[in-house]
Amino acid sequence: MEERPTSVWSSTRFWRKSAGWVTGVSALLLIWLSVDTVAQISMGTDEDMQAKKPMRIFPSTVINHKVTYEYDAKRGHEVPVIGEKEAFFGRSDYSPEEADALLRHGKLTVQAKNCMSCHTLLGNGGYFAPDLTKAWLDPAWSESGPYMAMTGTATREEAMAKFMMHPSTYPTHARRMPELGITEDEAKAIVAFLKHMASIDTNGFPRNFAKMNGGVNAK
Amino acid sequence: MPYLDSSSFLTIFVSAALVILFGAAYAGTFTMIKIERLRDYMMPLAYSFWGLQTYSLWVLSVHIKSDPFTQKVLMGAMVGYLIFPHIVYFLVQRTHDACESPESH
Amino acid sequence: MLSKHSEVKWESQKLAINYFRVAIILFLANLLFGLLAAIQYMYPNFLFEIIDFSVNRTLHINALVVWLLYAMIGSVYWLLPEETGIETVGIGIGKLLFYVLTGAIAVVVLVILIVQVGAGNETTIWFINEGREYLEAPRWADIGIVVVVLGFLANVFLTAFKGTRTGILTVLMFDLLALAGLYLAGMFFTKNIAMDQFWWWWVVHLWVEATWEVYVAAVVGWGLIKTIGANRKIVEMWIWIELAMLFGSGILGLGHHYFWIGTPEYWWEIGALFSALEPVPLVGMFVHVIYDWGKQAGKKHGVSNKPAFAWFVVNTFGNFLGAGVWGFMHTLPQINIYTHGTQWTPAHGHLAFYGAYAAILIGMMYIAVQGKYGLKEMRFTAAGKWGITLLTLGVLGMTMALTIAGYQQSMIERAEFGATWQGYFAAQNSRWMLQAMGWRLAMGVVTMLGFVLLFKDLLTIGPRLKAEEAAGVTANSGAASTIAEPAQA
Repeated sequence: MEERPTSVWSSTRFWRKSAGWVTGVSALLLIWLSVDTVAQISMGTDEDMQAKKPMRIFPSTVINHKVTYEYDAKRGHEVPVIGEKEAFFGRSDYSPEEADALLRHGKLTVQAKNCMSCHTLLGNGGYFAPDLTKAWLDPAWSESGPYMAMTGTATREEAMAKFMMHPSTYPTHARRMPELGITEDEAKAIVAFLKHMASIDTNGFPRNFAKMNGGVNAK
Repeated sequence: MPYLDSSSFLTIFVSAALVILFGAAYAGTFTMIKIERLRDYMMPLAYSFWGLQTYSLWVLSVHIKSDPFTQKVLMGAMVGYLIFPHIVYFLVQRTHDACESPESH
Repeated sequence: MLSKHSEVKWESQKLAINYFRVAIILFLANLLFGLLAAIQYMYPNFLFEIIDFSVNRTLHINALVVWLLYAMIGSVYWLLPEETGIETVGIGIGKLLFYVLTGAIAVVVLVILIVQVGAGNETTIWFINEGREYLEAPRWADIGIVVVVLGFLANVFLTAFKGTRTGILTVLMFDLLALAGLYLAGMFFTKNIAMDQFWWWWVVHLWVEATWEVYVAAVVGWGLIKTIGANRKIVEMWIWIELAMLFGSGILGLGHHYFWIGTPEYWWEIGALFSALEPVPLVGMFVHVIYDWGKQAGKKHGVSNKPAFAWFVVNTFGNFLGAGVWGFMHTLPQINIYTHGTQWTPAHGHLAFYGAYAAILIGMMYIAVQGKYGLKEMRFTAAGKWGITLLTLGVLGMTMALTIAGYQQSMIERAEFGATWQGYFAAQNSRWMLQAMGWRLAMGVVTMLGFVLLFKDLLTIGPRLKAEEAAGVTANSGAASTIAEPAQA
């Protein structure tokens, strides 16, 4: 099939081999980096979190705690800080098993309702509705924001749950969220998912979030 | 990750687009001259596209607040890009000459 | 493309035409649901709680992915017997799988359109909606797709081993295997959203910025041999060179999706470096195309399929602009932290998908029409010309509009308001965003008009040129009437 090449540059065999090597080396590098990354983005344990060990993805029990962001001069952006116990739907003693089950239910519901088709999660998804990455910390859902008063609730988690169960009862913008048949259990689980997602160390994304008044306790 | 001033966004987007577009203009003009669709005296034009591309990348790197080391690396990369169309053209010519010589038809 | 008339002698190519037929219908669905979603940006009450934006968008992007895959599979069934010189091995199974796949896709579309969402449990993930952008198809369908693709791969591999295994086929076999294997990375559930997104990108990125690109390089190479009589040895050598450049930059270019999803900082450097290299193979192609064009101009060998060749040209420039220019504008982490998750992404996505994939596969459809009617030469009809012009203008127009929308969203929502809810709505209600969305809708309508003309042309160009050719033959009674495609060596 191949005539004798006049030079290496016009040899199909040379280029086939080069392509094989480039692809192989790239793929191996990617696999090697992925092994490292997967270890770093696996959920930490509750004990490690209590011991304040550094981690990128906190365990489900992070819902028992206050989540804030503080500026880290060394890294040059805000990093999550897990604070004192904080009630989540009236409790701050979810066991790892309970918290895992809640988070799992929340993630399943987020997929079942296809939230990602309008909202972005970690910046990925649709652009028709607000980004949910740090929604848990958003000033709109704090005491100073409109949603608590509108839903007649006293906490962030209740405001969020009540809103998403019956979004058309609380229209805030021309673009409304449709009724998706979210039950009370599902709503609580979704809020747990949102709180967990807000605690993920996203390397400072979204930019300037921490500067917003009331958003987080950033310094 | 440096905080950027939003007034520099437009410069960033435009210079990033220009890096690629001038890059194409350089490679395109260079090739056109090589295959004699454009006259030889146009060659300075091709290289001035490369110059504009390098300048665009410099502007980009300043506005995204790259550290001095990265800026040097980027300028080094531009030297690489100066050679790149030469390499591609060399390869295209070698492969075509090897396969399209009269006896292979 | 619809009539029974066929001068195709290979069963494999008849199957290819079926794949193309479904592809063009799904292309219509792709545009239709896109238009509905675009209307909802302007008039949020339109079809509210009937077919919500989330449903329209899901169908918009999934119809896109599936029509491209159908046309990709179709193209392979088309070129397979011409490359190997033999009928595709196990073509009966291939045909059966076509009906299985098409039936499954129809069910998935209807369920997403009618049932839409389910309760938050595993049953929904398995039977209604997996709820992960681009991979919304429920799990049962995922498994079905894997089975069908395995059958397709068996067709390709067995045929290639039995017949002539050309360089183009070797690349395609290697690439299709990787493409199919990657799909498995998207088929699991985890409660950890960072882990979910990490593997999700393995499927999405390594498809569209690596394996699909290589697929296109191979098919364009084959198409250039077909349409302008390019030299096979050069084409095959260059496919390997392109493969080295595409995989060399694209595989680790995956890093540009790992800036902000919980993954470590080292992806900043890796992602920036390799995604900056991603335009390099495009420049390589560009230089080569100019070289070929320059050499071609002095030669007698004409273009045997003008519409297909025109679509290949749109592919080169569209890929360069959409993937190269629009990609590089927002890929560096310093700026991506402000643009990630804004309208910048659809601006880039629309032009890149159109330029890199839609264009080349439409070109392949024209090649299939030419083969089906046994036409020696295929020229442009008015509908074909207007089709390619309006589609290209429409997509470019949408891209410009979305770029303006993305620019002001990154300014207002990200730089000024720090991506809060207040910032999000401030950006959405700004005058620039509203006008941009109006222009996007208008340009979407232009795109749809272009599609209608393209659709008409694909259906009618064959019989029409055939009749003209026959008339020409009668007029010139001495002319040979053997117009079968010469088999590839």
